[in-house]
Amino acid sequence: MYLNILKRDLKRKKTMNVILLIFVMLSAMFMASSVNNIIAVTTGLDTFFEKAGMPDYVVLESSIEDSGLEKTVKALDSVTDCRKEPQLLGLSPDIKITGSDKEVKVNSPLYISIDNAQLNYFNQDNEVITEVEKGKVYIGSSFASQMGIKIGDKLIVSIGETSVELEYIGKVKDAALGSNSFGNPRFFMNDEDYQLLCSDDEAAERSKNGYYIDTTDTKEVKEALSGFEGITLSEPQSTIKNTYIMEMMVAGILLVVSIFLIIVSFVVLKHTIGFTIAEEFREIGVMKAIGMKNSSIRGLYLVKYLAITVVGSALGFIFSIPFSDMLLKSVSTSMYLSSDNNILVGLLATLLVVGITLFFCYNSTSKIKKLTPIDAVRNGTTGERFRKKSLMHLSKSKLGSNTFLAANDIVSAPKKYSVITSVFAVLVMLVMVLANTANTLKSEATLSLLGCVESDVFINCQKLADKSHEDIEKILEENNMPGKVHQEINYGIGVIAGDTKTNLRFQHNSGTKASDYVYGEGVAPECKNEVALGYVTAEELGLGVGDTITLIVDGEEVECTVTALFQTMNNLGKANRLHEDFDVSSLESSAFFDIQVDFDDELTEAELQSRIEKLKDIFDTEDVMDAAEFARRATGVYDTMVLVKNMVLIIVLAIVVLIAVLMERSFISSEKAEIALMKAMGISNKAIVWYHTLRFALVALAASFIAAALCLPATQLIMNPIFSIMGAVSGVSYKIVPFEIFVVYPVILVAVAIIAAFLTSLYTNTIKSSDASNIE
Amino acid sequence: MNTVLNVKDLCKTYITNKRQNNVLKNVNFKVNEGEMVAIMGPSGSGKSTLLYTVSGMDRMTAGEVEFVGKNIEKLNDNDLAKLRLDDMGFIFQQMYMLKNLTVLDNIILPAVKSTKTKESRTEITERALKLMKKLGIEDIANNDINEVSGGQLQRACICRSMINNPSVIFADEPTGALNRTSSDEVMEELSKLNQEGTTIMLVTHDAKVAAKCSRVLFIVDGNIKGEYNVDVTAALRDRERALNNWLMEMGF
Repeated sequence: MYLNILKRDLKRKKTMNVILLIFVMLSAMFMASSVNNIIAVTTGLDTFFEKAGMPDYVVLESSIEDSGLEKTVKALDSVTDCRKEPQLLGLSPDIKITGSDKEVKVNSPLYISIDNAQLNYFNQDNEVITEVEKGKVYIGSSFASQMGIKIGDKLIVSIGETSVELEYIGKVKDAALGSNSFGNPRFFMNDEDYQLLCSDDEAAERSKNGYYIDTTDTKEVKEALSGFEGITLSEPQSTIKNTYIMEMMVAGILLVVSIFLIIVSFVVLKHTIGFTIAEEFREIGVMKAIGMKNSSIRGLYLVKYLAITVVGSALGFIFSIPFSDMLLKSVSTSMYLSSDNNILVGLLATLLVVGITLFFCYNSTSKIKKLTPIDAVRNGTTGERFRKKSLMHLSKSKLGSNTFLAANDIVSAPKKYSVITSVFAVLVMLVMVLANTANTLKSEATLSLLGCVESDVFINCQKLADKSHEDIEKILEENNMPGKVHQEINYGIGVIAGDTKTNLRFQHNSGTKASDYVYGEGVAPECKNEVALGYVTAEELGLGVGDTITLIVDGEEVECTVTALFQTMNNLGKANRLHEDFDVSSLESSAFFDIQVDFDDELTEAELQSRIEKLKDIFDTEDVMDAAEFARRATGVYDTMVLVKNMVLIIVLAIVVLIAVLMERSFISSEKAEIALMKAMGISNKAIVWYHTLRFALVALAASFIAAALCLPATQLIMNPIFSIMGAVSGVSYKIVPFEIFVVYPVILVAVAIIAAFLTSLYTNTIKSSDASNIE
Repeated sequence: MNTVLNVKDLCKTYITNKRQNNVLKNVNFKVNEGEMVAIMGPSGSGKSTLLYTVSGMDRMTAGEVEFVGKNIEKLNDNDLAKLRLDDMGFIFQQMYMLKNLTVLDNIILPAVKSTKTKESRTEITERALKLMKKLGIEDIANNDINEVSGGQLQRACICRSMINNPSVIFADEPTGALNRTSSDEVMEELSKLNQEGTTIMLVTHDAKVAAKCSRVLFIVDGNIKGEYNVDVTAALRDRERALNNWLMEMGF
């Protein structure tokens, strides 16, 4: 009999059982994929470096002739292995995209034969690239992102007079030089193509060697290499890891998304279980009336939920594998992030879902004890509302009847609807957080974090290398757009702070004043013997405002007072600032920022864009941009962030659709009697569909308000820790685009909820008015 | 007297498990304005099906039903819904009401939805309260539906069925779920409404209830087997006795 009741229940309450099955499946899918993603992200870099075979120390040397570096390194006691990887240095102007006028602008591309590869390089499917066909090329992911090339595009790569045409076949994940911070794309080609390039007379001058050194003492290696000229990179693995901070920031967002998905799925699951058990009150009452024991009734439901949970979880686990891979692939084109070998983890996560679901079921069935046979006969409805009062009154309300019915339903069942509202709010807030972050990354607000003041126009300095600032100002004046030109320049300066001797990076701009920049503590340097330190440097050296440091300039010691501390994302927070009057003439610059132009006159946005176009023609470069575009390019992850935001938006909308469809379907199922009654009274199908749809519209609207109101604190809560890793330790002033946050996303959420609820509520058309007489 | 309901050769067939079940077979009858007609018959005879088919809640298989001059088979779902809203009232055995609304709100909802009159919500509410007072339930206006007794709730359902001044009230076993006292009270109210001119058609098993009607249609196996005109001038007990005798003759 027990089994018969169960079989009949599964068949008869098909709709509710299927809804529960889908929610269990979603929970299992989100849980298994999210746990996998969390593991993949938190262990991401270590796994990537391990799979790539990254050494303890990486060296890149220009090697016109044998410098003896390999021999020196191998002679060191601490070194266990040294792998040499020959390559050629390319130049941007020597790369042409076939059929495109687009100017190639990338930092020092490197050409390498796949046969010479000393590390494991991965394609976008996370497979090791072991061979490349002749005439084809894999390129580091930053190149495709910057140049917008697609698979199948052809490139002509030249060294001197020798050229090869190569078909682009995909992005490569290059652990050593592939991070966005490095931005040196490597071209992996067939050995024949590579040898052809090597055959050119110019190739010898462009020859470089990569050395991958396994050592137990990286300091010893660094000291041993200090005497070699032509070394362009000499860093331990830990420093290389730091260059992946931007990628980790995006991956960190995936972590947040995963945690959100777990929370959402369990909230929805708990509610659905509670709701379906509430639907059974009448039946439970009948079973009690015929003398069944509490334990038997509870057992019956637990067996039913166990069956649903096991099937749903199994399906969820299967779907979690492609879902997890899709998420991981979308957040990183330059890092190996994979959920492979985590089947066991996925299984454990799925078992956890089974356990938690059964716990929810056990918990919800505890209400069985409290129910009496009277509940079964009382009023014929669900019994869930015996102690509730109507809060709104149609007789006094000014709302239209459909709006009233929708609003009244919501306030009459606050628990049920608050769950949906909060889930919708959390989901849309997640998208808003990502939108705020993306907008901040391309806003003027980021300029101060990049150590720049706001300017009208930024011009890539490479194209203007042969022109002084005065020359540029003269050209601007000749073209009727007079303005002031200045540039941030980085200098590496030896510093003595107490007992510590180190080399610090200082920014200097002779065209601005130190007081033009934003500081977190103290006052801006006012004379040449005053400096401002980044928070990270100050903390590392144990310095604060008022302390003194000694700068070693041209062999002489210059004592400077620290007057201010500031946050910066440059050099992972280890950037500092000199006063504009500091004599930098004897210092060697280590990096140049883009040239900044401040026009003398006030411009509208349209006028500014017109001048940008004009400047592109004058200086024959596309790299003329406004402040927002400069910020976007400088941070390097804006495009990925937008991609992630759009992907999360799609996932969020899919979940909103699922929740709206399944919830509305379950509401229809439980309100069948009321719908039939309304029809019997003469209320039209259209009015009933509209009233049902309005409930979700109101819920989505409320969720949008909550999300919009909380999105700034949520952005700060989620993103500040991530930005602080990059050096912005005292918080970021986030850019909120009001139209996007207060209009676009709320409208999308409400529209999607309305469409989903509307289409589902059309099912009410199948309920006949005569059903009012034979509803159970 | 005007005919409000004219039923000609009405058939209703259900197909269950590929088997044809003819629930109504060529049913013919008329209901005049101001009549109170009871449909009686054994369980499964097609009483409720007849009520729901003639009221347009269920579609007929064949035949014709004219309701206040309109052939309901020719009306689409929206027109039928409007007809039910404006010209018909319904009372069910189970006293169905919308659980999230107060008793008063349940009563006024059809009027708020209707475009029959241009009354304001305040005017509708006043009219509903008058109706409630008439049926002796004005005290429960702002109560939730689970806070009132079955008898009170059925009287509220009568108020709801009356709110749009329908041409006919259809009642399916209106006293079936009530105790004797409540049942008597409800029938008393329906009788009063009928005396005031409201046409009522009800389904019942109870001869005591049917005795309060002016005419009884006896249905067996989907056919009207007999028709009995109640002597409304006689005392209720005599009417009931005479009706019971007739029913016995009909084999009930």
